[in-house]
Amino acid sequence: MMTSRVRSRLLWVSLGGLMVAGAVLLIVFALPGQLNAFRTPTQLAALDIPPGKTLRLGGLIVAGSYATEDGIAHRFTLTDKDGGTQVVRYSGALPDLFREGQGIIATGILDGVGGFDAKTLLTKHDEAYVPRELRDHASGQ
Amino acid sequence: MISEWAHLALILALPLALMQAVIALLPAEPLSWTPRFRQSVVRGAALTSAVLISIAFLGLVYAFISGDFSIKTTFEHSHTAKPLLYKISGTWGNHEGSILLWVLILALFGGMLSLRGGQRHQDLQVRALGVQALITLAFLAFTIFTSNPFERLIPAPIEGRGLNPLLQDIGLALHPPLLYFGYVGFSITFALTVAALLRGEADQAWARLVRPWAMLAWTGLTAGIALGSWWAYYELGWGGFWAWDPVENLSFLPWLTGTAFIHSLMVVEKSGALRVWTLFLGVVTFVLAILGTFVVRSGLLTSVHAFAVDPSRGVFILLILALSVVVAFGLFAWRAPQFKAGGGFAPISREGALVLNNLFLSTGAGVVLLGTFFPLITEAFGQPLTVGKPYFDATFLPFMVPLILVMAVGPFLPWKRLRNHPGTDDATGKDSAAIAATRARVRGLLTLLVLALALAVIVIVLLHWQSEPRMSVAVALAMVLAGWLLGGGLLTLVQRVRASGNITRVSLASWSVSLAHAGLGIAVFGLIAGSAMVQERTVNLSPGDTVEVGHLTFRLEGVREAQVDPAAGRNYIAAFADVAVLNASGGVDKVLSPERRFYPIRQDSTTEAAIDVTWLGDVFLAFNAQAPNGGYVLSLSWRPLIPWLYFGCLLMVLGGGLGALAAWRRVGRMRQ
Repeated sequence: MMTSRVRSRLLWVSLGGLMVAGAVLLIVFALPGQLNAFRTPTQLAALDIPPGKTLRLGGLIVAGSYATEDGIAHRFTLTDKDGGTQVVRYSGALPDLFREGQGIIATGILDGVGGFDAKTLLTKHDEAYVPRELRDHASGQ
Repeated sequence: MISEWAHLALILALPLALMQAVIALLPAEPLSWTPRFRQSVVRGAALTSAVLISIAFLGLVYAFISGDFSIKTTFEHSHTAKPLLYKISGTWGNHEGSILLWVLILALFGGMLSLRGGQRHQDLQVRALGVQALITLAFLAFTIFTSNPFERLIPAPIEGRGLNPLLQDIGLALHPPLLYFGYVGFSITFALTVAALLRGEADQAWARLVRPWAMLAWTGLTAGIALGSWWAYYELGWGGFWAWDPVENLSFLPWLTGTAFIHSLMVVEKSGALRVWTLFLGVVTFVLAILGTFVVRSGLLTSVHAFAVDPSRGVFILLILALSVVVAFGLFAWRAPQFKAGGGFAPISREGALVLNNLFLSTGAGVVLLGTFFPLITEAFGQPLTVGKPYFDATFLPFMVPLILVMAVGPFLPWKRLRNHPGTDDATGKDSAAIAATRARVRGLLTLLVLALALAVIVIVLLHWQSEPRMSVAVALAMVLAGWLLGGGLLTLVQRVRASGNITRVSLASWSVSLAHAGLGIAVFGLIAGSAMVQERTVNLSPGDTVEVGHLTFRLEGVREAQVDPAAGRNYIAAFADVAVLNASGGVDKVLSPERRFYPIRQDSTTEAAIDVTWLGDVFLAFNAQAPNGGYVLSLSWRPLIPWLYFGCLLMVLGGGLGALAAWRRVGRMRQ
């Protein structure tokens, strides 16, 4: 027969295994709906992405493209070094460092009629920081 | 002149750290060093390097205060027209200065270890100081060769560029030093763990010696994370108190494994079981702390909290990281099998609960680690894919629910080693005692459940009395869980008071566990309400307009401006929106003034929220912009129980501090 020490060890090891299995299951179920790809306006135009799928759109805010009436609903155009453009709509408070000509990453969905509905906007914190994805795709300036 | 001396001190610390590492870690026999000689040299070196690096750091602080813009760091991040507090905290509000702060805390901890540690553990102390010196060496080299804070500018500019306005905040004065205190505090437990691996010995005395350091580091890390969360909560655009941002996750990872570590150390100290696992946690926690400090700076992950990053430095950082991972885990893999298995224990016992705690915490850390680095992992296969809050909620929270269930009960379970002669436990004479014990256990569980329900009901009723929150069944159940945890903490204290007969005779350790567990319970209440029950509206108002948000009615009274006034410590132009909170009869309860600031030096603006803290929640107002149509854009919100979150964290920090003190005293007793 097993000694009690071996038995207790077996219990804990199998519990640990169970935990890992549970984590794997949760991840497998949670992941597919949650993957957000990074796209530039040019890539967005080339790909046929269904509306409603969350993605991260990065680019530079085109100078002169920003418009708002009430300060709550915002509209602007993003571009990248390959010249593609995408109109973005955002509702809510703008980040403090939101400026024309600056790189941002907008997380949101395509609205199906040519626009992009952003839920969150990521601007840089200070002048020296550029999000990694933007360094590769939008660093034209 | 002062900065020259500071620079010199920093450079001198480098060979000193090398010498300390060599003397401490080389085999003594062929060199015929006496242990005493070796110990005094190593301790002296550790103390000297603490002094040298303190001189370097204070020199940099002095350069910031006096406005010595011949130093590049000062020029880029300071300005004469800046309040003194921000001149001082601006020292670490940039890459170079914050790395120097990291190294300073490392050296101070090394100095502390050289003063404590005692006669009986001479060899352990010397080797740990050797490991500590290696870490210091690596990061000093990183500082001096890639991030030298004392780099000169010729000719010296007359004025600096000023500090990033977002950083001109009390948060910068408090959050980084405490966070680093936590991160770097785990360097001592890492050093003691590696020393134990080198010596092939990790007994109960070792665990007892490590515990105060682990508790101290945990306390600092908890305070640092809580303050960071608080800063992100009131600073707009940072995603609120917790957004599962990579930078937040990276600080959370060592906290999770560190929490597992302080609990598994208890098992080692008590029964000698879990030794290998505890050594593993000791290594992993500091590796995660390095990861936390430096991945943020390497720019590998995109974060809302990322500041000036330099990819060229990233290579150096990854090198240090890879080296420490390979060496530490290599040593672990080589040495760990030589450790004998410790004693076993019964499944339902304090040890059992602590093992469960470790399993849940480390699995939780695993899923957070995977989610945080998912963009890098997927990028290796092509397109980088990120995961957001829904992933973390779905994979992390399921492990926290059972953790909390066990956490409230654990402190009541007795320590129980397995008997080596099976059968004695089942002897018929013990049947009635076993039945009585089971009965007491069931009664205890029922008491706890009733208490949990009562606490949850009280909180829910209070929230409903205040307003009409939308509350789902899931939120109500989560409240019961929080009540379970808070109730567990309270009952633990009650039980210890009963056992010792008098509240003044309750041990520090018991206060520590009660406060920390109850504190987390209170914080969980805050987390639940603060994420599921917030009521918020972003509106465009003209003076005189009223708007309702939840149970609150607001009226914009007007907008006023204030000019730059260096004498009053104001290096910006401010615009205030005066918003009245109206009571039921339409009278003004109070006026809150959220603010927009414009910093002429850097041409930046910031949004400063106005927060009215009440014991049931925060009224949180932000002044976002003036709209082209003439109105003012304001975000108005009611955030229930947010103060509970931070009060709970405060209790946890208090509990951690008392735990460190208690552990410290036990080491003292051991020495006598």
